[in-house]
Amino acid sequence: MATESETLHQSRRFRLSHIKGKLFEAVLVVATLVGLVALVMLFGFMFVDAVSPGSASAEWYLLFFATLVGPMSAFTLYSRRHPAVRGANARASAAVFGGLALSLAAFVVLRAMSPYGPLTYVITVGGLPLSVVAYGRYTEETYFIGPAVVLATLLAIVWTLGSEVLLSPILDATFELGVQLLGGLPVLGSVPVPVDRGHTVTAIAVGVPTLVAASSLLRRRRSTDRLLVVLAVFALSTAGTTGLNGLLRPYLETVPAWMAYGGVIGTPVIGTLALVVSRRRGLRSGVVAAGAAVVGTALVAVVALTLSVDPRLLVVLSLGVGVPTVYVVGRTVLTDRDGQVGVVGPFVIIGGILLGAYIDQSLSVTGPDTWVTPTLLVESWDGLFPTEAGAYPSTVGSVMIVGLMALMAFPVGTGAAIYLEEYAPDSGWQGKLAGVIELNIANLAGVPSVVYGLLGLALFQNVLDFAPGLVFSASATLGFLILPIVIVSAQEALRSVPDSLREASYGMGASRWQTVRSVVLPEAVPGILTGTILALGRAIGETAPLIVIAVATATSSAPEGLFSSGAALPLRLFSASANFDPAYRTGVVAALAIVLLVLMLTMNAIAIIIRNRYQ
Amino acid sequence: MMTGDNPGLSADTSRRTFLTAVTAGGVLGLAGCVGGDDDSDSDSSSGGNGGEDELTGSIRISGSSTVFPVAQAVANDFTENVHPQTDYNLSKDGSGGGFRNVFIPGDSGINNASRPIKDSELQDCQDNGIDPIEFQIAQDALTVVVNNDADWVDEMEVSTIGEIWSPETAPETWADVNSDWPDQEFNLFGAATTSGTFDYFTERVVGEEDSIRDDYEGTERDDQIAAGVAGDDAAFGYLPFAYYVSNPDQVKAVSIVEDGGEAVEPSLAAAQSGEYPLARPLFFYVNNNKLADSQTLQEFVRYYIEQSGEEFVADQIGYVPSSEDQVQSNLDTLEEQL
Amino acid sequence: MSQKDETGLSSLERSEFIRRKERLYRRLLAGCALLTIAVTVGIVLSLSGQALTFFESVSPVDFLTGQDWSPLSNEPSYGVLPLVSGTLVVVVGSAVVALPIGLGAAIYLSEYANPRVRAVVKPMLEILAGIPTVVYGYFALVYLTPILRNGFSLPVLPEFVTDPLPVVSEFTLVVPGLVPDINTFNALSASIVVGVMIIPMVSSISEDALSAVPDSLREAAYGLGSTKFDVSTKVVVPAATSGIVSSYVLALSRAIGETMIVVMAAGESPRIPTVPNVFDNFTESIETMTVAMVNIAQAESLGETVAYESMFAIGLTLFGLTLTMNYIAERISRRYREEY
Repeated sequence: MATESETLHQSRRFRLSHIKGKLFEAVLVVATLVGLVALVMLFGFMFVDAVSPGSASAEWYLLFFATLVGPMSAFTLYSRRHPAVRGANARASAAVFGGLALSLAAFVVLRAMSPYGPLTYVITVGGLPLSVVAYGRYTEETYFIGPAVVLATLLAIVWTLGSEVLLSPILDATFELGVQLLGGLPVLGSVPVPVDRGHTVTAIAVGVPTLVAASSLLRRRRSTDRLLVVLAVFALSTAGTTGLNGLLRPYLETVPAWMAYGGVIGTPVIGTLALVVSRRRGLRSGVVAAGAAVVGTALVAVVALTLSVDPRLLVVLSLGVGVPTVYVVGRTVLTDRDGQVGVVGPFVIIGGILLGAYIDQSLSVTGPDTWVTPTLLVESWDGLFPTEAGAYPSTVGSVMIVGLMALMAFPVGTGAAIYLEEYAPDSGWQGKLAGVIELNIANLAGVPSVVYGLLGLALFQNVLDFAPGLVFSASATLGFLILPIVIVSAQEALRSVPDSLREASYGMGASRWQTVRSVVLPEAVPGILTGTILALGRAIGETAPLIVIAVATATSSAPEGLFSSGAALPLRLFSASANFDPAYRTGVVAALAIVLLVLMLTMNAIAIIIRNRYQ
Repeated sequence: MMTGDNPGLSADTSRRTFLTAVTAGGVLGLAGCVGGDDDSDSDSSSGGNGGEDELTGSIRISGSSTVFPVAQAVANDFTENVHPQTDYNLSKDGSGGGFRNVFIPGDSGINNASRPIKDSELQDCQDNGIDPIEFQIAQDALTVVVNNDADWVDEMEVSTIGEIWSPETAPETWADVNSDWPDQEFNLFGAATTSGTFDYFTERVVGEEDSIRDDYEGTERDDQIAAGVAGDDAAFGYLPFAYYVSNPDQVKAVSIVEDGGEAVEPSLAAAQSGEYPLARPLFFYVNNNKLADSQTLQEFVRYYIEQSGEEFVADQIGYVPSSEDQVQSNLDTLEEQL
Repeated sequence: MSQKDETGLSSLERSEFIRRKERLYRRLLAGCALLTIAVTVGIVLSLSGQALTFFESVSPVDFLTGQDWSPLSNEPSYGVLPLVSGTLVVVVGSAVVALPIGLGAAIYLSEYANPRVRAVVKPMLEILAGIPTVVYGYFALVYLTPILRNGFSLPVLPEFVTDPLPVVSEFTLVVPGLVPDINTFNALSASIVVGVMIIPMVSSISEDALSAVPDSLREAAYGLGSTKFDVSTKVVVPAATSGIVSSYVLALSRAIGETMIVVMAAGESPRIPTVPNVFDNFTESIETMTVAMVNIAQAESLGETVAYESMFAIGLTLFGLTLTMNYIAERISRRYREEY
């Protein structure tokens, strides 16, 4: 045997096949490396052109390492060994940086749109459903709260906008249709219709809700509070015919701007804070926490006003970043002994940046000759001087478009996935239909993005006769584009929830919706969110459909509302690459590309963090 | 908002919190978004008077890619520094494209053009109830370019250029035109058919409007013309002077000879003095109805006229600024309209 | 649930209200799912509606077999062949780049790499898929084409090291230009970059397919004395064929629909490919179907003209193409699918 194995190892064939194997492995490694090298080259070239790291002096690099990289690495190494610290660091970073990102996004959008409109909607759309919930809790008939809240939200939106805005065109169209149909008939056609359009609209707008409320509420049990509800519906529908908007706006506009910003941002933030705290520690603590947040923000505003600094951004930041950070830090310090040090993490980074900037300014160290400057991010476009060019309107436009698109695609996509996974039967005509739907979704995922642009063009410009290139059309078109992706990833997330949980829930007598809402969805939400955020990251970079639906490539100011002309960052990049001055084509475009890449990487990182954190 | 490491109930609570936060944010985001739209000003081309000193409103400008840099610089300045409450919306559709798609339907207040309005376009305007007001601003020295390595040609006759581009003769190679030139196939770059530069070139050089050979690469993006010519020895193209002078080392400009006269290099001075055969005037046209309705538009047109005589047009962009007489006559025309 | 709620039902029965609520929710969710069908119907209707109007002015035969695409000239002609061949050039080019590299990376990650390498490399490749295509297009035009033409030299050390120490400044990495005749706008840069973009699609899906092959097959092959090379190429890859092929088809259908990279880097000259010297097709500029659509969209936004309608006709062609490819992928994967 020994001799045989010696011969085996010495035989040429063995050695050849060994070499062949190693060669094959080398080829595979090279193949993998090509992909990675391409990635590095892409980022590297653009980074060098946009930031010119070679032009920074050695002192700048020293400063950079000493203030930012050094402390950050030290902290990361330390936290690697202590999982509690890592957990606390993750939570604190999420609160600080996540809050910062969302606050800035909200701020720029509100600044472009003017905060009074959203404030009106926050009051009505927040107030009405909340009162419904409160009423339900008060009368202890909690099972109708679900659909009632949805109905209340929709009604609030309609009433604020003004129900006649929706009813008039519908009524007109119906009348015309009716006239056309009846006009053919000999007798009826010649009878004039003695109806006053205006009064009809009012009658419908007020009568229908009131009658419905009266019949459903007063049917079985009459009592004073139900009567009050019906009266409230009557009053609201009357005021809502022309639009609560019109009633409330004049009063709201007397409120100073920073309070309006505070109201719009503060309501969800402080509301969530109150909910979270009251769930853990009871209603009183919740109210106290909310009150503390309000007082804190008001203090910030007052200080800013006395220093003659514009309080708006500070108010938004203190609500969007301050409140979550204080909550997270406070909780960690109070409850988590081991992880207390972890909350310092994000502040190490921020402190490092600020310290470095301060030293940079006071010692005037030569930094890199970068194109990625604050001007690029905050100013609007200048076609003549590349150093003055700014992409702020396009950035705000992108934020608005992507934000609205997420709001459209996420519920619809999740709803479709829930239906396909939880409700659709496996057999029968409904089962077949579900199969067709799934096949259809798979096909839609492969359709090129320009074709979606054509769909948007045909739908919004030809059929609905909107102006070209609106924020709403862009959001809807991109929403159609990512819908298949959202549905598929939501389905995967729902599938990964073990059936045992569902069976247990059914075993306890829960209905299907109760199971989905309380058992399946909470488990699946992180996965759904991951998929949606990845889809959002892709949508931020989509350009072709926007070009087809004629979103303007050169606008000077951010879009003012949903139905004004849109703008988008990749379109800005595309048009800048056609500028007559070559400095634009190499410097500014590279900087914009870096900005887009950073955005995309951030969204990928968030998705991965959510996936790792909750699964 | 995220709970700690206690398993069981807290894990569910943390998810619930997460869910609640996301839903709350979502619903209010939706509300906020819906609420935004009734703030936007209704009509995009009219401007209101937000008060004595504060002009507001939006100015919509369409048209030529040649005039685009001038319009952009002026509009930017106007909406940032002079009247910060206004804003502009500027597109690059080509002179013809801008007329057809935006100006004639009444969507823009101003259409830039690198050639005069055509009779058919004028007729369409009038059919739509628009009486466009013409203002001539600036001058371009249309530049004919070849690759830097094309050392066999430094000057060309206008008629030769026309021959190269004409659909009737459409020579394949340089040698077909002149036996001293190399036997390399032409690689032609020029303006797209929506462009006023195209209209001017076909009429002035080829000899007949809209008449051009069909195997050239036409684009509305004039920077691509220079880049394209720079990439091929046998390439040949024409573009506005601004896109040449911003990067003069990229391609070589050909001097133009007309009717046996002197070979004239393209330059602003030559264009201004009239020596350069391919000097052409640039225009913008204003919708008279919108002008009458909007003080913002009136102020902008006045600003546009005045600024087109300034130095930056030559120094930063590369066109000949309007002369003082021209500026004055434009202002007079404007006054007559008001 | 209480023993008897106020409506007087026994505790195991759901009230009528709750049953109606359940039905309502079910219908709402079904509506969301049906919306996707509405999207497809919308796409088909909008495309074919305008395309039919187009085919009234231009016969389908002329459209499908014509060799000249110039919709915006004063004597327009609407032959789609140059566009289709332009798309074909880009697809072939990107396939040559992406398919071998993607499969190679997939085999390496699933068979050879250790888990830590895998955990790092796989997300990095995924990033390639997420980069906005405008950025890719810009990269192809401004960086890749000059590199292909002139090569590049990379100083290995930054300025502040070489300035005080002039001795070390001589180290630069020089790579010569591979295609010196290349046009500024050419199909090669665009194809390479499209290929790079679709590498992650091939590698991720193939790697999932390769990992799904049960270890028992590998063990059996090793037991018979195969080398790792044999196992990978003769056992695992054939077993995962259906997944690999469907990843190929998906990646290619993405390449067909790619717009921005080609718009920025490949120019806009519709041309029929030259047959004898195939490589020439890559050094010249081309126009694909997607680029043609975008160009028309920028020029004709009003909607009454034949050119505008031609955009929808091309869209219909594209839609049909990708649908066919998806169908083929589905059939192939089903045919070769191995059930374990």
